[in-house]
Amino acid sequence: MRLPLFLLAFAASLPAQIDGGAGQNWPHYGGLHSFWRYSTLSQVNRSNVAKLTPKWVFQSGQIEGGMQGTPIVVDGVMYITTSFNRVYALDAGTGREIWRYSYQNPKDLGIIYGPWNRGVAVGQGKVFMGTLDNSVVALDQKSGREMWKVNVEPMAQCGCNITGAPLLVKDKVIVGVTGGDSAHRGYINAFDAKTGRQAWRFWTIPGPGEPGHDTWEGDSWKSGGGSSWMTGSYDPELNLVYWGVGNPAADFYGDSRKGKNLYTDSVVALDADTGKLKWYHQQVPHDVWDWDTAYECLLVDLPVKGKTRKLLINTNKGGYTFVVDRTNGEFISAWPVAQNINWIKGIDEKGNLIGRNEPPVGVPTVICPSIGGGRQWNQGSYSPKSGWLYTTGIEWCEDVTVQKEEPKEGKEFFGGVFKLRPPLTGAPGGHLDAYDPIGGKKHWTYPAKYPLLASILSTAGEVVFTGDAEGHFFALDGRSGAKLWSFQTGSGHRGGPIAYSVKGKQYVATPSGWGSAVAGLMSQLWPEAENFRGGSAVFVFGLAE
Amino acid sequence: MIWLALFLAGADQNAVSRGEKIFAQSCSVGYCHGMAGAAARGPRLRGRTFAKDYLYKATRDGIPKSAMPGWKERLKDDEIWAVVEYIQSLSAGGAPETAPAATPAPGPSVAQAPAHPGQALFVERCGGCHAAAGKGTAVGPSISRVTAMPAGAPKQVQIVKLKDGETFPAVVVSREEGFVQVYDLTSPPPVKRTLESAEIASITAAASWPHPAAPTPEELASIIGYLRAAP
Repeated sequence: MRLPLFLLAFAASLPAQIDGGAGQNWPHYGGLHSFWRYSTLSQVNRSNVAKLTPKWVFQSGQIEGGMQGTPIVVDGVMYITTSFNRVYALDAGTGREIWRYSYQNPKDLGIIYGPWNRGVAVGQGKVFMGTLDNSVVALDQKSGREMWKVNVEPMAQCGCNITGAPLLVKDKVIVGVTGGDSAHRGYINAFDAKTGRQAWRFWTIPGPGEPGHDTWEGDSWKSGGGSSWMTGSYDPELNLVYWGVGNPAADFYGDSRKGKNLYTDSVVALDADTGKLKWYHQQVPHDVWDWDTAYECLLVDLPVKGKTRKLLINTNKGGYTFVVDRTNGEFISAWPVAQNINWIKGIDEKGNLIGRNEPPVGVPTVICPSIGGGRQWNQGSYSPKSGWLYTTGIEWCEDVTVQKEEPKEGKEFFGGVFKLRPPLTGAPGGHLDAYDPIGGKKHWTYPAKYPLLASILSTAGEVVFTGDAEGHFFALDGRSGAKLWSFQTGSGHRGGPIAYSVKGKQYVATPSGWGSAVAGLMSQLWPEAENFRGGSAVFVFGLAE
Repeated sequence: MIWLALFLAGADQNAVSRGEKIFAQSCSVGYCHGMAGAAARGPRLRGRTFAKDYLYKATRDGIPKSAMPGWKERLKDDEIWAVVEYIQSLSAGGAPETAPAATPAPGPSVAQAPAHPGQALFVERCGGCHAAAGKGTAVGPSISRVTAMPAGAPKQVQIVKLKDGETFPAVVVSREEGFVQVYDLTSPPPVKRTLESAEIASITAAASWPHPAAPTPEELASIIGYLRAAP
């Protein structure tokens, strides 16, 4: 199409806005690289969502740890993973299995981060997955045949592994690592997508001679955690990869790592080609509560005081959402997603924490939220249609007792014990809320009996989808939060729902399968949660014909 | 209640309180087992009944294909038994829900002396390609006994040339119909690659191959010290 010259000039003068809407395909863990978990499809919408019916179900049979991934769909093929690193390619229209791959993990895993996997990256003719023994594999996209495999670091050495989905950026596959509760020094690694050769490594804790090294006392940097266990984002215009870095280790005991402990509890912006640090923003200096900054980095361009800015939105486990300028890390705002927060009194206009409530060694102390977080890692969704951020919150607290602990390489390094307790005000439970992304003004709230631990999907049909612990997969009106539809899948929800289309028909898919560390913790507050049924399936819905 | 009193009277209270301390510092850390046996990532232990032998074996050796590690290298045998006594003290009583598959051989745990300082160096500098004493990855030869690098290139190292022009040093792992599996040695860590035979131009012996940067003499001395001391 040829545009008149004046229109071309107009288009050129508009600042390029980052896009986050997935369409026919759901090509990346977070939808697109900007992590909106938003679908531009609107065949299914507020007026007809009540007519959704199941089209097919795929049962993996591997129910330990549930099903925590987010499916990827590319050109009519769906790629899913299960615990213990199984991968399936399915016909996205029918559920027919095209191929399967089962990674051979060592028998004696003995890893403390669980057997689950949260998804693959697909592109360059390959399917990429991180493994429980801290390796990365590339599979042929058509056949599932293993093309390359590289061990990042021996699991026994690091006490870490990979559970998060990789991020494919141009010709590199970028992976994070668990290990934040172990005596380990974290990193983010990039591998050449074709050959598997390591392209770069970013240490999340600076070594001797590097800026920020002096934020660690003595040798504490060697075992300071700083894991990178979720999946990063990418801004192609700035060529920056954004990744959230987890808590310092030991989690609760901080006396032997005095200092700010960079770059733990920080968002780091890395050059996609070299892995060099462009900027960082630390949310919680010297964390002693196990607050990760590991969750998703949502990239969006929005007006701030009348001027459109390139923003990054990240919710911290401590219950605050932080908004920064993603060109330079400048703090814009912070607002809470939970009501029960007592580890700080607040955050000032520059992003500094006010009134830190640090539990002393050996004295049981009430901390809110609990270690499970004011929000869990299951991701929120941004809809450009409403302009709102849909994200969950949890009301619960804990009694934490800090213990002095010495690091043992690759072993658990936690520095305390905790027990969940109900919040100081109100009943324990979860909620899903619609917020203004910058100011945090709440537009509606959907209360839930138990924490909501599945990611959120919003669509151009103005429907918000997620699932609950009891097995309901449901749709809310994006404007009002009213429930429009619900379907019982038989097991709780911990993965990420998606939307896609095949041959012009829109589908909505969700993993179903209860599991994970926090699902296990829940029974400390809700004894009945111990009997919540396991599962590991993908349910796919479409409109009744 | 009477039963419980009798049970407790029979248990070694000293071991129970020792076990409680060890449990708090080793088992209910992280997201593993909850405090005092509450559920967390690991299953609830409080209020359930397990056979003693089962608990001992699971604690000592770990549970295969699960997140439960074996503790025999970190806890002494009597410490493992103390943990078992403590978990038993949280019991609901009644018949054990998990019968032991077989009475475990009461092999002592081997809680070890602090690791040799050369061990970490070995794993860091050599372990990506070499295995020794159960550590590292066996891509290259075991270096427990290697005395010197051969002149030219080690016989395992070959040069793979692909038809698209890519050329790299490699160790061939296996050849099966239509495919050749190699370790690509271009840069550490080595990459296990599956190549289609049709894409390979040639695989030839390497005339020379620069072994990745050697450790300093001091580091080397420490690594050799570790390898000599290793079982």
